[in-house]
Amino acid sequence: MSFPSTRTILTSFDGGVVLQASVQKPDKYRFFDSLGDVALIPRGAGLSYPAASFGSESTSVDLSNFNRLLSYQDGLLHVEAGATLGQVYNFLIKHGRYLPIQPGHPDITIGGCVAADVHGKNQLRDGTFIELVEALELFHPKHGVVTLSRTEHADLFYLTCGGYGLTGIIRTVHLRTRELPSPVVEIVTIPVSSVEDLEAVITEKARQYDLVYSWHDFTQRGKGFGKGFIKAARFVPSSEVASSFDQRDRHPKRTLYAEHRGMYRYAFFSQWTTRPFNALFYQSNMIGRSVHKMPLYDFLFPVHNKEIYFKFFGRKGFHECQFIIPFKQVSSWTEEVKVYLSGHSISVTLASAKLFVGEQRLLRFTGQGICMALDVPRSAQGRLFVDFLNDLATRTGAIPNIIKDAELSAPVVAACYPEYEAFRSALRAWDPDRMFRSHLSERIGL
Amino acid sequence: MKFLIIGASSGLGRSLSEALAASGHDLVLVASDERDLSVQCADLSLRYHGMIVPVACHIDPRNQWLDAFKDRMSMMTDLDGIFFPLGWSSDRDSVALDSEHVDALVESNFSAIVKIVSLFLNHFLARGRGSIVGFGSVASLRGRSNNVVYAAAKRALSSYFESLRHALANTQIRVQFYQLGYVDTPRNFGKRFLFPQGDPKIAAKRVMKNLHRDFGRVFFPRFWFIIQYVVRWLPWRIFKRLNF
Ligand SMILES: Cc1cc2nc3c(=O)[nH]c(=O)nc-3n(C[C@H](O)[C@H](O)[C@H](O)COP(=O)(O)OP(=O)(O)OC[C@H]3O[C@@H](n4cnc5c(N)ncnc54)[C@H](O)[C@@H]3O)c2cc1C
Repeated sequence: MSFPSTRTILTSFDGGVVLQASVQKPDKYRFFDSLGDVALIPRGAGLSYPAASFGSESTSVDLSNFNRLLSYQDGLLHVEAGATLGQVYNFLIKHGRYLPIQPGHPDITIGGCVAADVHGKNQLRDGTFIELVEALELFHPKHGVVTLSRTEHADLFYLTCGGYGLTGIIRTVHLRTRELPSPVVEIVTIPVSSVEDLEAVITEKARQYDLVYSWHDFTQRGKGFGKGFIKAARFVPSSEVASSFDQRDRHPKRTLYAEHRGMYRYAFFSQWTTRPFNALFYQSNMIGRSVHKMPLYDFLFPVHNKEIYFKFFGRKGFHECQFIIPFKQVSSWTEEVKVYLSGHSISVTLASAKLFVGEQRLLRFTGQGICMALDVPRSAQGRLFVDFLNDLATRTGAIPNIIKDAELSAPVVAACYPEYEAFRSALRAWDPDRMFRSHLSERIGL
Repeated sequence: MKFLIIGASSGLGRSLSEALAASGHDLVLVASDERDLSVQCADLSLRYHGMIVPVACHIDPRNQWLDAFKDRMSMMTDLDGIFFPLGWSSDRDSVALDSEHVDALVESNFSAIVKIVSLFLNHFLARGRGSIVGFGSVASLRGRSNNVVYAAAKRALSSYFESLRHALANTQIRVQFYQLGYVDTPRNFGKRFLFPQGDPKIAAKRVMKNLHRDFGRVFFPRFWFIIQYVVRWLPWRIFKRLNF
């Protein structure tokens, strides 16, 4: 049986890349026996901001049918890579376990998490997704199936976790899960008056709490620039969780698609609407500031059922940039951004920070510092702002996130990631023909 | 309850096995590739409480699949129903076709099902109850120049299920036949059709809901009930010009 391939229009989640690409969506293992010499790229949920899982010259292999849970023993969960965070959450919670590192939407796949080595809500304590990977099964048409772990083909393991799908197709992953203290978290909201104040407060909170992030208003000018709040959550002891707590499966249906994000033709966010929107968001969080409880699910996946935020950018989309800014550079970085924004009418709809520690290796988004994410509507002005931020990153030693920033160029990545060349040559050593390619990999010169 | 699903690892069969397992039933899943079957069984066993048994069997007229299948099934004395969400079509299926293809198409879409039903019929009669659920295709509504043998085999299957229902009319054995329109399965991925595709998960839910009803034949998606008349009654002068 052959597996149909179709040419279709694919869109990056940020709306920046829209192109015709070939896609195959197999559901049988026989598919892997039939792969020939064509250029490929694995595709999870297609929710990366840049075009990481498609390209005009490659066939995207949509792995969403390979989404089964295979075994669970002693806290180790073996899954097919197309399984989503939502599916895994629903299974683990019944066993009193969870994945401590999860990006913000339940539709994201385990394969996407491994390949982009994503982070969760407390990188300081938990690290990045690679920490959860005990072993994985990689398929490459020229090499067949290879099992990778820290002890088996270790170099390839490190190249694949954070390898953006360029080493081959991850078929299954053995995940380390953690005991779940309880399915409910208690949240506090702590106001911060500026980004400069953030470092001290967020460091303290990240040590005290299980999950921590901050939000800032970058549309304010002058003294109020960057004022915001930290959301910190800790698990409520099980004994305090009401027995009536609803344990039914959450999120049985998929709610987020890159192709649907741009369903509204026009954007709601503009220089007139973003300021009141942010002010309202700030106030609503200040009013609900008292300590309150929330299901863990809602804290882990804050965007779920609030996908409208992304739709508000309209068909044109948005730019998202994320940087790990070295602690010593946070003040100067903030100052430069503040000065830039005071001279340009750019609507920063989101500025959110997390605390990062750890050693930066290959192309994995890790390092020491404050991790700051910014969203702006897609426009010529927005693009100039992104270029400014990327230039600022090279000057301040900040590390840009490859899986977030769709405008990153090869020189910027090479300048910011010391092991860029090492990654490139290791990739060529493993796959001299470079069978796995995407729009992203071409853009950043891999 | 315990059900046998032939063609369980893909499309509607996969959705059906998921829906039945989620309702706590025991299942015997039959599919051609052991790898697909083992992951499917592992998943359902892990998430649900029923017993899930895999049986790898490649229905192919060139091999003696029936003997091996009979051996595996000899222990299955407690089945409550069988589902046949299987089918196979080929791009080469036209009015003149090599015999190997003809045999394969007829076997997968018709004769294998008759053989399997024949194998279990006495079992159901002895128990005095059971469900036998077949799946046809709207391709068989009216012969066209595409999918020629496939459509003919599906029409034969439809006729067989009519006979089966007739033969079992005075028993508690339910014989149901779903005439499937376009369904969103990997086989149809990326194809454009004249009418919207049905969701296999919804189809599976409907099959489960209907399990104890006595209705003979229904369409999925339902709107095909209307379209069938258009297809059947379209004047020849127009029909002969259509290329679909
Ligand atoms: C609402 C939202 C919130 C987010 N929050 C966070 C966050 O908090 N932290 C964070 O780090 N990221 C976050 N992200 C980014 C997201 O986690 C990553 O982009 C992730 O890679 C998306 O996974 P996906 O399943 O959509 O994969 P895709 O976008 O389809 O693919 C992503 C990459 O993984 C590769 N890939 C996918 N599957 C496989 C496989 N089986 N084998 C090999 N390679 C594969 C692809 O080739 C591609 O390079 C968020 C994204 C969204 C839309």
